[in-house]
Amino acid sequence: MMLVDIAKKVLRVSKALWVKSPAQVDVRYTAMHHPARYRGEHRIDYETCIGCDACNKICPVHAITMKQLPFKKQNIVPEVNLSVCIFCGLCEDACPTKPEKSIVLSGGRYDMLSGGWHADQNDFWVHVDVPQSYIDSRLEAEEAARVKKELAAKKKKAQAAAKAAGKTATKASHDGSPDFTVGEKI
Amino acid sequence: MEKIKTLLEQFETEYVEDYKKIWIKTKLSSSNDLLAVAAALKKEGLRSLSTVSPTDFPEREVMELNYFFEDLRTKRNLWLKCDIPRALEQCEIESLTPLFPSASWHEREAYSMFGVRFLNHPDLRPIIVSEDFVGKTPFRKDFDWEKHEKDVTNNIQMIVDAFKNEQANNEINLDSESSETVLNWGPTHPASGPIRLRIHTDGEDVISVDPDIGYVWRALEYLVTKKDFVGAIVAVERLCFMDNINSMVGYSMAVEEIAGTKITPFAKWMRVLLGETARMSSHFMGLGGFFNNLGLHTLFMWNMDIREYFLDFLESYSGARIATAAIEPGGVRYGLDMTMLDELQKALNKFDNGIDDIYTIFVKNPTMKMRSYDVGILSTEEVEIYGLSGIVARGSGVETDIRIDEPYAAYDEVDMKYITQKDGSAYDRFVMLFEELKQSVKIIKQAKKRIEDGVASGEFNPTKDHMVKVPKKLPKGEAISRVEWARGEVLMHLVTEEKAKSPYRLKLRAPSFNHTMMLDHLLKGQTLSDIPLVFCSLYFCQGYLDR
Amino acid sequence: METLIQAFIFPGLLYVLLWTVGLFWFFRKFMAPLHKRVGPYFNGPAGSYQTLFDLSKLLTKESITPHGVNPYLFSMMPLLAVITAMLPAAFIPWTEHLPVVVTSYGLLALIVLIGIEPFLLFLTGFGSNNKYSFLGGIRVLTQAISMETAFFLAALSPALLFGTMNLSIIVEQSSWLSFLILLPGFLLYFIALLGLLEQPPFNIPDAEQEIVYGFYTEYSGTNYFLLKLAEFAEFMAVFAGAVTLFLGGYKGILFDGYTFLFIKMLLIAVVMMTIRAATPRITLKQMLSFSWRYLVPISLLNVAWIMMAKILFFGGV
Repeated sequence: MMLVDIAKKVLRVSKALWVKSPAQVDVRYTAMHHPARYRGEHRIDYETCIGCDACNKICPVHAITMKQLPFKKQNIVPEVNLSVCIFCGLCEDACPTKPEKSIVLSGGRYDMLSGGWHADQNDFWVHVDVPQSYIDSRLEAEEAARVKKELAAKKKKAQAAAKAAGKTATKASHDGSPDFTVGEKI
Repeated sequence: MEKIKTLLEQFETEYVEDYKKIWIKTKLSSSNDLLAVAAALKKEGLRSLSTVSPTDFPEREVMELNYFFEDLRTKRNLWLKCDIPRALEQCEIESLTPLFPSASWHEREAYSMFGVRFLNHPDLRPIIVSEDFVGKTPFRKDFDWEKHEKDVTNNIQMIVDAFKNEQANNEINLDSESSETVLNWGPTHPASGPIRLRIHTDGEDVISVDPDIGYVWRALEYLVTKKDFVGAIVAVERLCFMDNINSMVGYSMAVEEIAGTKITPFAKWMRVLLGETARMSSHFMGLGGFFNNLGLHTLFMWNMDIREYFLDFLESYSGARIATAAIEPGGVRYGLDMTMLDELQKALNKFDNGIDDIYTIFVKNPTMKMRSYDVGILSTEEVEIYGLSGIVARGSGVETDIRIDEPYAAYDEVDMKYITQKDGSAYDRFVMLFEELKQSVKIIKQAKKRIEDGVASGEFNPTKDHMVKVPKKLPKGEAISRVEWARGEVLMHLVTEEKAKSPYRLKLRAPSFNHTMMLDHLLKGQTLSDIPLVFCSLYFCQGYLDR
Repeated sequence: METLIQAFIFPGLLYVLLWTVGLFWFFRKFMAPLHKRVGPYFNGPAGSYQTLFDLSKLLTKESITPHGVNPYLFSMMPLLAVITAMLPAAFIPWTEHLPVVVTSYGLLALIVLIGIEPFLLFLTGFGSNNKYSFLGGIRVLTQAISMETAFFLAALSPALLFGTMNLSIIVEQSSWLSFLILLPGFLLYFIALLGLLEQPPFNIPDAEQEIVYGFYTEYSGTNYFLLKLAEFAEFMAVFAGAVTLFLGGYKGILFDGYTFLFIKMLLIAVVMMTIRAATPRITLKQMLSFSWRYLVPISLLNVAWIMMAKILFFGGV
């Protein structure tokens, strides 16, 4: 009879009262499951970033904008708008830096935007804080490299001039500087 | 197949060629022959029309229409193309709805999106698009989205005016003394999700149902054309993110076919493993949702408990639980770490422990059976003419499953059979969900064992074999791919131009579209209480309806 | 003075309010392990303050009166419903020294007051200018008429057995023998109780998935709080009626007193909740056919059984 059948189902459901509930952890403070590949908040390393713009090009929703730095080369770093980002992880796949990538989502923070009021739109960005000391050291290094290159160029020019004055050989110089002493070749 | 070729010889065609194993591809020289060809095909046995998809070629001044005919019994399929002029006044063709009732809404969609007019269509109204897009054919290549989106206030005002107009006039023809009325079973209803049903009732008896869809329209088919081939997976996976993996598999297969790359066996088995896990995640929600509409929330809660363990496995593998973006053209996106399979084993153990209770209490529940065994009955005949697929088709006894008919990924090596139920009522579809859940677990166990054996014997390298390089620029071509998604058969049609960096046209055919067409047919003469029951037993996803 | 205390504290207004709050919390907390959930957790020990917070939230929200409603039906009916639902508390014998109103027609008063409630609820549905509320009101009326017949017949069986309608005397004369004789009557009363209180499997007027929220649809804020208070006060009245009529009221194992009444009422609530977690809803037509084809004839048979038992065991008619 149907009533007996219903009664049996009711008894079977009541067995759930003796099963320990799986909800044990207060997930406001600890995560139940946080694997190594979990796509959390972005961590951007401005020192290893080579400024290739690959993450910007592959982002499907245009959440990345590049911040300009005052260097000659490798002068852009990414910044991410968290209210547009869909956490797909393609930027991390596209980054060519080795051994660690410059933009990493795996294993990132999961409690990004929760808690309290956000009065400012800037709270929803992942900004890169480049300290002045780093900028100064990079500019110095660039300056030093530029000076070194100029000296090396001068030296080579002086060498080539001395060589050409010392010989009347027709060996043309391949360093790009015009050679006005090779009139005999013609 | 030979019979189809002889049939096509009677008409003028540009070419007739074999395409994959069970398809024939052909192009008609003149669009006037379409009706005759369709009638002949129907007599031959190809009685299901899967979808109608136009492609816009502005340089050649043509609109190319693609028709996909299927025969569910003998597994013969035909891909028919024909050209019609592109200019709006001449862009018309004969409608196939009188012969193939499943074409009704697909033609309405082609009309709204591309402006193709179908002559002799019984009910050619716009569908999916909101009022501000009506008459503007948004998917043509010369539509200016930026300009349209600038005028937001005006667009919203148009939508509101149209709705108020409809509400003021929808009962005008009804007798004000009788008990007939028009109800909005609407988008803000506890059981409906984002869809609106206009129900014409007499007291509590339903006279007719008219679905109004388009509340989740994201124009994904257009969005995909603006991203590159890898970035498009985030658009394709958001069709319905409960089972996102199988949608991505379909898209990746189409890209790989055009590019001409073959993926490694390891990637194929990983696609099977991930696909079945996602299918289980979707079925758990479907089982629970069925009982939710009967007022009993216990099954949903118990299912969520088991489902969390499967989502833990997906999270360990890809980094996200639901919108995983784990399948890319060329294979699967991440390598496999063998400790992740231990998490999968934990999930499988939890499933085996809990499934007996679910079977005894809910599948064999006498009250549920009393409510649903004579409601929403679909016969085999109706499955064929309306182009239904997935659980709905197999619940009525039709043996169709793309994993067996046209195997993709590693399904040709998987040991599986057709599972069907006989009667086709709402109860049978519910039992089908449960049986498919158990079948998926068996397939997962096979895939897991195969991957473990392969890695142990050195045949697979789990960290390197997962992806093959696909070129960034694809040659000109087109491809179709079909997958067995959790809720039905998904057909994707991809068209690329020469040296393309992004798709030219991607057509996504939603099984839920055909299923929602059945609501009016199934609910005539039933009561209000049966509406959520039939609605949920058809197991469709509103996100995929609207795309 | 004593009347004042009885009217406002026990078993008056404050008692009914406390009972409502406590029962609401008990329902939620007991249902949770059946669903493998936790239930109210954060506020107070085991979430017991949660109901108070919910009630105070409801009282501070805006009571929206939609355009086009009938103002008398919409705003006054909730008040009438609350008063009607609280009145049976005066007739139930809570301990040996109460009830508040000693009358030899206590059972009749109980039945009438419980039975008039659905009509008031129908009027609320009728007065809201909403198709869904109206459908909900019609369903309440249909269900109430069908279930009340069986309810009355089952509730009258102790009166037939003991020959009196005085509730205190019924409790005095109850014993293990009378409990066994009245067992079929108790089962019938329980099933009719599910129908009258709109609990699964008979929660048809309150079918969220079909008609949004039935006649509650247009209510919000204080109005809604009053309707819910009426519903839970009715719970209390019906449960107390069940315990008094069939389960022996305040009689206990070692001593008599209020505690046993309380425990027995909670027992009935537990059984009702477990049935709620295991049975889906049935349709209106199926409920009507079940009630008129099975429930009412069996109640009439039950009346015949009571008369026979009275002749056999209690000596004479």
